[in-house]
Amino acid sequence: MPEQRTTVEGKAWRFGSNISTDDIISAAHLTSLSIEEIAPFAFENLRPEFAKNVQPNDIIVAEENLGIGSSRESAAAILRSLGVGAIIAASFARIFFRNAYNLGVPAIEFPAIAKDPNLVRDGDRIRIDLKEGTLFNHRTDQSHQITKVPPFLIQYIEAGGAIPLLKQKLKTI
Amino acid sequence: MTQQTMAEKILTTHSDQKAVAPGEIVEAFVDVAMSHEMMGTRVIPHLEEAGVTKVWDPSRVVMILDHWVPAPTVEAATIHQRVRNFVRDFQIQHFYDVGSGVCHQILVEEGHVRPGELLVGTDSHTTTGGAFGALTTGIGATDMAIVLGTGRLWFRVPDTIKITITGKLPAKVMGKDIILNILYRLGVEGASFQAIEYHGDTLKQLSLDAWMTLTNMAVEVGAMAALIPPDKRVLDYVKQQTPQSFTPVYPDEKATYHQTHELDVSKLVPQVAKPSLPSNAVPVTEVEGIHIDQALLGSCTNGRLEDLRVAAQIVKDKQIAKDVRFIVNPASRRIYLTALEEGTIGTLVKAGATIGPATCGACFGGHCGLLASGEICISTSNRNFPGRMGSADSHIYLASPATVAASAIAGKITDPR
Ligand code: SF4
Repeated sequence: MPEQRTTVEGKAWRFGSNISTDDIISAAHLTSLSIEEIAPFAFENLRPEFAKNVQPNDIIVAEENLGIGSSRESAAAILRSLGVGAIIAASFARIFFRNAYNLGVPAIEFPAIAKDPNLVRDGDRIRIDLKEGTLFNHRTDQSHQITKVPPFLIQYIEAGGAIPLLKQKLKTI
Repeated sequence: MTQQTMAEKILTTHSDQKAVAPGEIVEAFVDVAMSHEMMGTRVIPHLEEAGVTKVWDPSRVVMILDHWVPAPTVEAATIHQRVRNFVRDFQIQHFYDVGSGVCHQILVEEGHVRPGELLVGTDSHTTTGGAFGALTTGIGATDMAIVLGTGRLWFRVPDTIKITITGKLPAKVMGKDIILNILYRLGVEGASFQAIEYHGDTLKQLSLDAWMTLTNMAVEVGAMAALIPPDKRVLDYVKQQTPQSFTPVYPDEKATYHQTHELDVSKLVPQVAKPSLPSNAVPVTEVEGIHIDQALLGSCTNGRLEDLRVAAQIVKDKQIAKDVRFIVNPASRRIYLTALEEGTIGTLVKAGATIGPATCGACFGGHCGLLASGEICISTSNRNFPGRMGSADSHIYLASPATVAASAIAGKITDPR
């Protein structure tokens, strides 16, 4: 039901600036090829409770340069496997941003969060609408403008990532 | 008319849109797709999963084996075998096997990089080709599967940073010193998601080899691409390499740049990037005298003819220090052959250099010249992250071919001037 996938509601997990793919998953765990096996180590140094407590559709909210460092796709893959519904940041590192969409996880810019970190606090319940480009915070009862996800990338979200989408496309050719 | 930078223009001409602006997501038609060993390890499984049985255009796909060549392990040999089978089964028209050279060099030498075109490769230093007026950028394995299946890929249109380089470059100071200094100024991630466009009078004095060094390392500050408006040398060179026609693009006079930087190089001194970031550059004078165990001359950053010649001139009739290994990897077979025929290789060997094949080899710690714990290497390559060239507690200093050659002779980091 594609329509349902374009809104996401969940609890916000707040992070600061310059969170690297190493912070998301340390290179020490990358010898394992199973994403499920290493997912419990997500953010193990910054927020060791994250992997245990994250619920499906929870939303990561970070400030500048989320996902800097190595281009490892596993960083985004781990967040997906833990059920993260969307990733919001004031700005993203390029390859992390690509990887997120390619794996079917929306990555959305919210520049205002860097200037006013209180717009979303840790644990707030928020709802985002990818097509409308809005973020609603239940705590503050306020709605904010975030970057709209273009229709082209909505396809990626609806299909669950690039590979399923490619499969669909090849069938219709 | 919208005024556009080179990157914006190329993404416009390769999409269905009338004009694209920074921040927009566009789906673009790709002219050339390049992959290497990553094809055998990570792309083929994606293609299998998606059920791709033919590539969109086998004449636009380039496969190159360059990282683990010649294969140092059975695993590497198996990866190569998988790539060769793919080339055969999918009738890929451009395949460069073991010993041809490093992918970014081959793409240029064989005329696959053409001004105004859009090229993607599964390697971060694909930015190198931007020296020839094309938008060339690194992508991941999933991206490559999409490109091979459909010939298209989505891009976020980058902001462009304009860097104007002026002044006459002093003797023994090279393109590498300019880029190390630029990286220092921009800082880690200083160009993240953005394109760099190089301008300025100094470019005319620099060789195209040096232009490739400037675009190669742009990725070290996060740039998606780095472009230089093509001059007559570039157009003539590309026409010599390929019969394929192309349409160069140039930035509009009133294009909008996200940032502009000006760099006067007339007083620039040789730069050395200290461990463990490429943007850690300091003047060579600050690190002079540090003992080295190995010197590496090679890679897609500085393994070209000009680089080998500059190094040969410095080591001519001298001997490298007795406790130093001096490893040389020409960036391609063509370069190797020319350097051999003109005597440059001979000069290097006489001075004590070990010439390796035209491969990535030591640059990424693959094989042929790894570092032991505690060892120090001065290298012309592009990355000095911890463990990049071997043991996790070895240390890498990045420098120009002139500085590396002078250091190999002295056995310690040395100012080449
Ligand atoms: S020479 Fe080094 S940087 Fe260049 S492609 Fe090979 S491994 Fe990468």
